[in-house]
Amino acid sequence: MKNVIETEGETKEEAIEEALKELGVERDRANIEILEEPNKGLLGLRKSKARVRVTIVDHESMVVEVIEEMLKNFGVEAAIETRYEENYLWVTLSGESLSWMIGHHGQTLDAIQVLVGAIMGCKLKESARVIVDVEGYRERSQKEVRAMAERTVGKVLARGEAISLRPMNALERKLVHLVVAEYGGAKSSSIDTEPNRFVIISPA
Amino acid sequence: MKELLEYLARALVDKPDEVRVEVIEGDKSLILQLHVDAEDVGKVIGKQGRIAKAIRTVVKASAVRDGKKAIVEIID
Repeated sequence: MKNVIETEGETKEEAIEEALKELGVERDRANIEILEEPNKGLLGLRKSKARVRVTIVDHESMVVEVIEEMLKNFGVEAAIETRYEENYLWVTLSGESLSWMIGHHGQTLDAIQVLVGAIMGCKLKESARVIVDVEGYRERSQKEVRAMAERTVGKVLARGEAISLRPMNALERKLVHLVVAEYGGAKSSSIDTEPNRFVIISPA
Repeated sequence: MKELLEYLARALVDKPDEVRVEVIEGDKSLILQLHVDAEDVGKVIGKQGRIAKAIRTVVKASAVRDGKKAIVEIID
């Protein structure tokens, strides 16, 4: 697979779109350099196109390295699997006696994720969208959050009054907002600050 | 625990050579004093203490496996 490509277009946007399509990646996995600004020219003279160079940023191997190093320091062995989903890099760990890495309501796992994100941020000088999961914990909890959101919207619409949910992390809150938007007839907003930030669902 | 904390701190700061961890070990508890360069303190604390909290949570959870209560102190 190609990692870098240079493209031309009438506008910068057009050139970038073209490059991303060629490389088959989303914008947040790409590093974009503008080689030449487009020039509309004067009366058709000196007209030039926009030229850009787009490079795929390989977050994946860096993230895996950081996590391997962390596991070594924890003194645990785990299999590491990675996949991209909705612009997030999911890193799933599996192995024996890893449950301590999840913690109460996933607190330890959230902390590990914060640290992996911060370490990647230091290395890349930009934020990386990484989700760390252990033994499918996040996948299960996402299903639960989705089900809870659906039940709550139903209640809100039936009773015509607002209901607040338990404190959630950013990813869970995003999922609730998504479910509420899909459902229609209700609106959701986040209240308070981390780690107590929660979503309230109210009739639209 | 010392190695874990050293690793995390070194991966987060600009001056990894200045990272030092001192351990005061008791029967049931473990105090880890993390020393970093004055300019790096913000990096290990983070906005609203987010990074420091994550470091404490992870070190604590890891120490519990050895039956110990770990306390991380950040010192510049």
